[in-house]
Amino acid sequence: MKKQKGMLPFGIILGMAAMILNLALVLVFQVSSGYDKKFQELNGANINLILPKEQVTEKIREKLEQHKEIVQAEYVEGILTQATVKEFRGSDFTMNTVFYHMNETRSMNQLEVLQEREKAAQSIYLPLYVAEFGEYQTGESITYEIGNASYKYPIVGVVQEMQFGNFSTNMMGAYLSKEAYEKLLEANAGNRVYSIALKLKENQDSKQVQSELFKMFREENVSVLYGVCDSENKQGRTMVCNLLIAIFMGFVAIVVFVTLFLAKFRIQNCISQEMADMGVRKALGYTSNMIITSIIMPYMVVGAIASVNGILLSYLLLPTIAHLLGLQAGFFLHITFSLSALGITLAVLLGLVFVFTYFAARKIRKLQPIYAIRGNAECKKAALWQNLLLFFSLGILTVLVSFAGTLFYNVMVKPDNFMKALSDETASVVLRVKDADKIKEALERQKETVKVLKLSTEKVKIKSEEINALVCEDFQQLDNDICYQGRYPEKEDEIALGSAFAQEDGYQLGDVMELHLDGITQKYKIVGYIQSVNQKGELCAVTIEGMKRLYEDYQAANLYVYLQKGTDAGRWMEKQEKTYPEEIFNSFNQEELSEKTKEMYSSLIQEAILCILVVTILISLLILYVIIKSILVSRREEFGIYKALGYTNGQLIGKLAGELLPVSVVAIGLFSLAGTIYMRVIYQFIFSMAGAMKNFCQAPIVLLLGSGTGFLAVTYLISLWLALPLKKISAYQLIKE
Amino acid sequence: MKQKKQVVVAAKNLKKSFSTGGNEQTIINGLDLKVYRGDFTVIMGSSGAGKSTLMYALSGMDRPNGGQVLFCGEDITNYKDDKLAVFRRKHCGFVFQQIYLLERMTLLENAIAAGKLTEHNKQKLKEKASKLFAKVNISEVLQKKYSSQISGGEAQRAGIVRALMNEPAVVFADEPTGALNSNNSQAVLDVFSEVNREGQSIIMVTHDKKTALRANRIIYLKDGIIFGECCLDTYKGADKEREHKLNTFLEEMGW
Repeated sequence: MKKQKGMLPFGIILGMAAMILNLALVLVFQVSSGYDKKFQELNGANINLILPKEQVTEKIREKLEQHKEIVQAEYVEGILTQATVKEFRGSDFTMNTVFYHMNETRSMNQLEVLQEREKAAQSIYLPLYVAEFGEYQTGESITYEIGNASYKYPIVGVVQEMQFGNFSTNMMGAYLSKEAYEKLLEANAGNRVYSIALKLKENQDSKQVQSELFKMFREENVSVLYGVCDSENKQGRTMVCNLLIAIFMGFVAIVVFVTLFLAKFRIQNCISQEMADMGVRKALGYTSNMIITSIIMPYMVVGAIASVNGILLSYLLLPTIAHLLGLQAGFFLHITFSLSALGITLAVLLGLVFVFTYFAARKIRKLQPIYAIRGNAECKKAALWQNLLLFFSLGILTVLVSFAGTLFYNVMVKPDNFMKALSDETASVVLRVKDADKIKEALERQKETVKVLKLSTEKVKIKSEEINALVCEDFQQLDNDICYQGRYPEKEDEIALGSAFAQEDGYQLGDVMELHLDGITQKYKIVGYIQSVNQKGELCAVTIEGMKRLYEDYQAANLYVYLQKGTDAGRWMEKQEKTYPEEIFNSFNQEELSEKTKEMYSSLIQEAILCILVVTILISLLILYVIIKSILVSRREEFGIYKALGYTNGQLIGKLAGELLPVSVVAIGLFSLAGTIYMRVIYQFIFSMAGAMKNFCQAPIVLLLGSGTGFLAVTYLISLWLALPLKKISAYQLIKE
Repeated sequence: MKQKKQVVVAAKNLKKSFSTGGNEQTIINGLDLKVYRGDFTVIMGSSGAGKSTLMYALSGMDRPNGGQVLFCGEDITNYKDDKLAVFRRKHCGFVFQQIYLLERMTLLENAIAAGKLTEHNKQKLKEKASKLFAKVNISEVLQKKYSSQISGGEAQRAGIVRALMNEPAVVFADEPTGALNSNNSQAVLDVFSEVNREGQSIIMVTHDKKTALRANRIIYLKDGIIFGECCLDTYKGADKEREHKLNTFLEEMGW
């Protein structure tokens, strides 16, 4: 009876570890494959292009269809607009939106209707990403402001699509009823585009083919309004999702470690308490192996039952977690049972339980029966284990608390720290212009303008791989310093390379390397390394003069405009479009996008912080429960003596909780202080998984100590609460027992 | 004129029963008792007669099921846990058969652990402990040892020191020589006799006739009530007449 009681916390702890481990493994196994499966189901195109309709001539069609790697090309008409969505998460939000006719036949990039109401004229289907983040429901309506006109559409459905990226690509789709499409087309006939979906032969490098097509379009003077290949799209859509899984896995490692450490203590403690029984059995003639087996078996059986229950429980939570993660990637992730995750979870946990119980139990071999019956030698070891368990568990939990605290600080208090690491250069407004030199000076003269910078992304090749090159007139002026080692290029023959090349291809600072563009090759000296989360470090940076060496007539296409604080970027943008209608092709309110992204991260991180804190408190509760319970059992007599001497319940509860305080203070204090070092490493690790090498996140010592003090107070209160059962037992009973 | 003795502990219609396996077993069944200040009272009886149960009920270590316990005239029966703890520290000292010294403390620390509940001046506490240790013949060297490093007799004498630290009204001793050899038993009993002669009230449970000889009042329990009582003079040393009187009493009781 007593044994079964002791097994309950062990079972709960192991079940929890199994739940979290299985949960993490299923996500690792199924997020990426889930994306691929959905991509196959909806017959996603390998390359998606958007071109002005009038430029898609017969000649262009022929060239595409005759390309040796393309097996299928599909053309779907749409209207490309810069649409301001009203009341998007409570405010206006401008994004490039392609409106399609919902009933247009598509063999590629099919739409999966998730929710649908009765169809109506003048209605719209929203993509899942817009519907979820904009908090729109079917049955409500959405209002777009396009040009000077306002269009209000009842939302009759939500669709899942694999054609577009997420908000960071600033291009979204929307699907209108026939009547609504025709009405919008009347007012925006000049914005007609073709979405071209291309299916390639199997195992073709879509990036490579895309690069060849871009070259062809340049030669044919065709403007590519949007172009993305399947691998880039997947990377962009699953970036936040992968980041969350990375954080989650780290979290899992900590929880599993603490749980197993706790299980080890539990086993050690139980064995210490059962030592006398073991001695009796030895005296009766049981062999050591028989006794060891009898010790291990209950733990293995309880461990197996608890693990299976934990795994089953994880499948109850997985749909919710998968839904949240899937939404980051803009699709519904359907979780299926994973035999591999189950196998690994059971093997890892039961394997560790076996190892722990065996090593804890094997000492019975050396023990003579009489010493086992007396069992005194075990007391000191149990106390040592108790302190070690407390020290390391609270230490590791302090890492979690510090992580939650710094995450709060860097995302909610100083959001720029987090954004800088994850985003590229962010100005107030980005203008795509005809002649950058002509308009730049005029813009700089305006009182709202702080600075205007020529910064564009161009395609170049390193060896045979096509990558983006950041081309800027003066990298020193960038607000977001993405150079993490060395410096930016200043001369025409200098280059800064993306982190992927530094890590994988072994390019060193000072090396000379070659860039290729349309048959021209130039040598550049590597002067620095740069990062980019969106491009996973696969990029480079050269000066405008450096780009001109590859393309003599190169002219900067984009102007990054930084406005004074308080300036309405949207209004300023509209004003410029009216003032320079011939010069500005396109404009983009980056400030607004940045704010929306911050909001998105904030809500996600808030949930993550809450989750971390709840789990931390639960684990602390379990650890302290096991420790205090074992103290109450093993030192029952001692507390009885204290009660007989006249100590009050309050004094004894305070004494018990106070005994844990020195180790708790040292563990939490040391790990909080060490946070100034390891927090940097943790953030560096998490961001590097997403391609960001430079860490802007801060871990102020006051914040770390504050979080630590809060955690210490919580653990002390939990200890006091857990020691309350002392009250229920009278001194006489304690001594009698 | 002989001065009237003052009652220090009294039990009125005291009842105590235990529930074992669904059966209610009555141990103390409506017992009345008065214990006087300065007395060395011994409780005797056969196994299961309720000797320890009575002693722990009188000392506030356990709660009776019925009746009253009056300590210096005050009813402690319905005291709450913390009030009872404060009462014990001020008025009771305990000496156990298993001694129950705190294993992680030295003898001196054990004494101070009890004393610091009523006296916060460390120096005064040490001085008081030293005097008591000297009285029970425990040297300074021994005071710094742990219970696992000393003999049973030494440990029990340290236990008596701990019981006396708060100058209790009564010292309750539950078979204090039960686990000791003959020599150690004598030494421990000598300490009890000496402190009793100095005025300390003692209530002791024992099975041992030699121990009972030290008392000036012997109470014999049977069937949950006081079956008989024997009064002796204050112990001053081995005495044939005293021994005879006790033997006769115990024979009458069916011992």
